[in-house]
Amino acid sequence: MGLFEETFNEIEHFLDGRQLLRSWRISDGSPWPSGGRRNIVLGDDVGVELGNPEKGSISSIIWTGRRKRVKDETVTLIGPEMSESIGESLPYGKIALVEVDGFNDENTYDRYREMESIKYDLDLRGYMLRAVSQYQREWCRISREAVREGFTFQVLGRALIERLKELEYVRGVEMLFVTSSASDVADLGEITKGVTRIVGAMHKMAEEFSLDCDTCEYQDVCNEVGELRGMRKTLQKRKGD
Amino acid sequence: MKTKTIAVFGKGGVGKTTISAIMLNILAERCDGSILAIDADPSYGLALAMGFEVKKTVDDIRKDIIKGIKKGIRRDKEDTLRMLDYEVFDALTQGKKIAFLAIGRPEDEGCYCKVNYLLKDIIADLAGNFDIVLIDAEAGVEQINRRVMKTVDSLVLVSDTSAKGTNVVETIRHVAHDNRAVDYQKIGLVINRARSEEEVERIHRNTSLDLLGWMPDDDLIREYDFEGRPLTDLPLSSTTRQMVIGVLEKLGF
Repeated sequence: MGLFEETFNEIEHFLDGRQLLRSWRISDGSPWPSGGRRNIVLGDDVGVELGNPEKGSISSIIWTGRRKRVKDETVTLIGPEMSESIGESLPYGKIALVEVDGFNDENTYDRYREMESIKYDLDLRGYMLRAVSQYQREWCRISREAVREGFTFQVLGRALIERLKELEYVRGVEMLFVTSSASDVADLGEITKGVTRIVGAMHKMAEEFSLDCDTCEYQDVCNEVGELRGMRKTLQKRKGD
Repeated sequence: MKTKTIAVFGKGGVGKTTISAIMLNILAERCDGSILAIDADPSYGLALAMGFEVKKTVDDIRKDIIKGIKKGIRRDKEDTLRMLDYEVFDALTQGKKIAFLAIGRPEDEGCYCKVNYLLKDIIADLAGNFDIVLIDAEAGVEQINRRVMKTVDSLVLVSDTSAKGTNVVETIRHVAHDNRAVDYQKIGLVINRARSEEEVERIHRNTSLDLLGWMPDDDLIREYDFEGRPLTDLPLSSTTRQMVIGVLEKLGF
């Protein structure tokens, strides 16, 4: 499947020649303890806030079957690190670039849902997440204590990469974080706009009983993306059975 | 640490919001943990008394979701839950030690039980992250069950000296206890704007509730209300404040 090849190209272009770009291998870091039941970071406990609705956020997951497209087990950050932003609320961009195996018309949507849901299952001490996948919004808070104890984008990236790689069809994962500016996050949002539309179309196909293309708001996306048409045919067959 | 929940009920105008606000101030001073204040009274009096600004209510979120459903936007349960969770967190006003959530007006766009249930789950989940939750409620216990939460630790029923006030608290007790509208551990009466211990005794004799405490008709509170000053500024020496401390101590705080 090549649903997001163009998005991969645009992200590469977005990264080209960037200042303040830092990259780490996850093997250089150590795992982070779990947070238990309480998952809210409030008031004075907030060390850094990422993606507050007033600051803007973008969170996306894109995948490819092409080998070597993804720098496996690498975390890249554009912008300030958490420890450099204590007490601040930053715009937030987060993209998971995933190399996968065996995606087809039958399994793509379910696998996307499985990969997407992983971020909600992360249980990291001092890390809070509120997110709306359909709108690609993600709002995180990291406690002062967690930042002081060494919580970084490398730690967060490592946790996400490790969880994603537990899925049998995931071969490699690279995490990109952007905190540099609202306009950089907006640029990233522009790049991944097509992802939101494609995912929205997949979602609609899976949820709706009737697949009447004439009245569908995703008609343009399906016309453009061949893979979606294939998925639609498969789903129609399944629903007709 | 287990979350402790207090819900303050009573007829409109008996002073439950004033008592809730003073309770919150005292709890914030005395307790180390985090506090969630839930304003379940549609008039948002608690926000004003505490000096919080309400930017969005739970009911606004509910209406948006229902508007989406009517427009044909479909989400599965998990997506709806996450969306509501995000929006409820956004509706939370956060002070230094107290976070504030306004519930808003009762439902008026038909019954969307699924959305109500999900919202209730989210509020319960949110509340579980705090050490203390205080709900300033309206008179209808069933509304709280339906819109906020089913289980609380302490039910504080507030009445003034009027027969109407005590009748309402008796009805609340009946609905909460006999109809099992809300599960609770402790229940008690607070009499507000009383003139003397004798008056309090007389009123208390006419109810089946344990007396948690009483407050005098306090000119200082009246002055604060008149000027629209938040009760967070109330001096430590205020008589009402001292009485509320007694109530909280009886509830184990």
